[in-house]
Amino acid sequence: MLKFIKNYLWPVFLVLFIIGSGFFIFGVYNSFQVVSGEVSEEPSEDATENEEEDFIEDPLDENDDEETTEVPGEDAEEIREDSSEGLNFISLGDSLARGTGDDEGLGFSGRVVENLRDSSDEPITYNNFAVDGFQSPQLLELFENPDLMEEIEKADIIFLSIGGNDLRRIQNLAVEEQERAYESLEEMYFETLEETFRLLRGENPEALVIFLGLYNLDYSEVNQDETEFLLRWNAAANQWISLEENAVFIPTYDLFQFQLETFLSFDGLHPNDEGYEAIAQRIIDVLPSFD
Amino acid sequence: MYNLVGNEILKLFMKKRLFVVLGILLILIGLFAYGEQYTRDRTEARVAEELGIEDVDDWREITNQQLRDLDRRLENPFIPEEGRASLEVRAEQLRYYLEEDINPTTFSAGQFMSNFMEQSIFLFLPLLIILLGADIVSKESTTGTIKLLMTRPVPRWKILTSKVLALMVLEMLVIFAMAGISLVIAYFTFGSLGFGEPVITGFRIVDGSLDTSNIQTVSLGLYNIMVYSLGYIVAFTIGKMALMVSVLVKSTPAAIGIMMSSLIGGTFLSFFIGDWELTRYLFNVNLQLTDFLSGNLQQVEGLSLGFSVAVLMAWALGSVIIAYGVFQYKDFMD
Repeated sequence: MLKFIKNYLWPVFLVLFIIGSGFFIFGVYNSFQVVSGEVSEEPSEDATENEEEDFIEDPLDENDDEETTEVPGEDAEEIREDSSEGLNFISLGDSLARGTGDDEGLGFSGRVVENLRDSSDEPITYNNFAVDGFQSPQLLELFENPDLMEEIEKADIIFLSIGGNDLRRIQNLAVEEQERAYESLEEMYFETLEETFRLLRGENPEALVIFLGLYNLDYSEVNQDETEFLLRWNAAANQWISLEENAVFIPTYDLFQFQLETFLSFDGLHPNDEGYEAIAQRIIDVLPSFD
Repeated sequence: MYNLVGNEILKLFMKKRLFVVLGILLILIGLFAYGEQYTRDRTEARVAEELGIEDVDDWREITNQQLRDLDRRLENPFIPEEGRASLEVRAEQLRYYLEEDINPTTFSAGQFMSNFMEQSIFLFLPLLIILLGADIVSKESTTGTIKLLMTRPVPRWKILTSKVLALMVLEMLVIFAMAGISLVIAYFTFGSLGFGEPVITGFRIVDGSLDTSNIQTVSLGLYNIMVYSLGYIVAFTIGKMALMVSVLVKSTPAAIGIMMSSLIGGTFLSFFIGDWELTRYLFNVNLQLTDFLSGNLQQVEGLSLGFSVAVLMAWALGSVIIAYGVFQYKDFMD
């Protein structure tokens, strides 16, 4: 037995050890590649920022092209005149404005537009510029983009959903810290919202802003404290938006209150088709007639 | 030298401890696999009940919808660059599952393997190595065989080197055993290897927050090689430290006790004084090398894969230097 181990097993181990070392060197080398290998592709922060800007501008140019095919005419002013004949809808804000969770990808804004297209002959253009996960400061940052401001200037109706992701930040905090965090969050949120509206109105004082209220924070469990924060938030937003000119607050909490199971998509966070349809229906009821 | 290392390997195999370690691995991995399977079955049943899904093909629908969702988000021209990168790799992942006809919620042996190493790298793996390595010199002191060893016409440094090499072989054996046993057990439990599945990795920590702009996918097979290689780095360092303690103290239980308490105590220490800059030079906080691959945020600021590996290597080197220095001049005759 001893001889066997020493004469045969030990050489086998030695070979295994050498092969294993090769494997492990390969593995460690790859780990370093994955973790830091791509740092060299970013020469400096400025360069990446420029890239980002390019990235944002390029697809928008394409968008503009699409619009020109829709509305023939080479002169920019002509386009504007043409588009002012019909109705211009845009959607701004977070994933709700985006329509995440909707099987058809329309979202409440898309569904409102579809509905209006069915019922009226007026040409309608619609663009969705919402980004999943956006909080109010990010939306404000987006307003620095001149192309977006141009879109806002042309818009007749602006769907806006922002704030849900801001408020969700208190969820991770300990209960005793939530009250203080809520107050500072709310203060910051409305300051940001005020600045957002100042920029928006500077570009377009006429457009009707349709602002979506929050329906729930976390659906996996009912948390009374957090629901209380949500209602306070909604009440403050309702008052704030309703005091603005040409803006309307669309409450959704009551809409979802008894329908969470039927209205939520499989991710348990965003509405599904039915949920978005219900929101859209409520907005259509609220909309003034455009004839 | 070849024969000397062979002798040391022989000594290690004659001890029951190696087989105890293998037995622990076998039992624990079996339990983990059973537990994982059990939780997954229950979650699946609950989700199916909640969503009213009975059809097996339904995962396709859900995956397709997730993919459509991701694609729609990517169409948005205003999405930030960082978000775009993570959306793209997630879409890539989902596309793979659809193409290969794999339900993304099922668990494969490859996933179990990498999970097991990720969970054991900071405590369980070091404990096994300590069990094996802490008596490599001290046992000879306890039983008195060290005196026989010293009377042979072999220089002391050669004796210690053969022990270091034998320990390195043993460390690798433990890593192989972890990989092999978990692979076999998980394959029989979960039924698929899944080495081709894409894993998301390449996270970086920039200014204290997770930067996802560089994330990419690698195959699960390669990911496992990477994870187990990092495991070997940890085993290597802990093995060298155990060897040093084994040289310093005479009794094996004392050596094991010292190593274990410094391992566990150091981890506690890093909890309490996490913002103290010197904690990042403790070996304990640098053991979780796999977190850099999987993207778990580090509890201690300023760590990176390169830094952690360098710190571990420095500890290993320091331990070896002390071990040689003491072993060369220590009086074993008392």
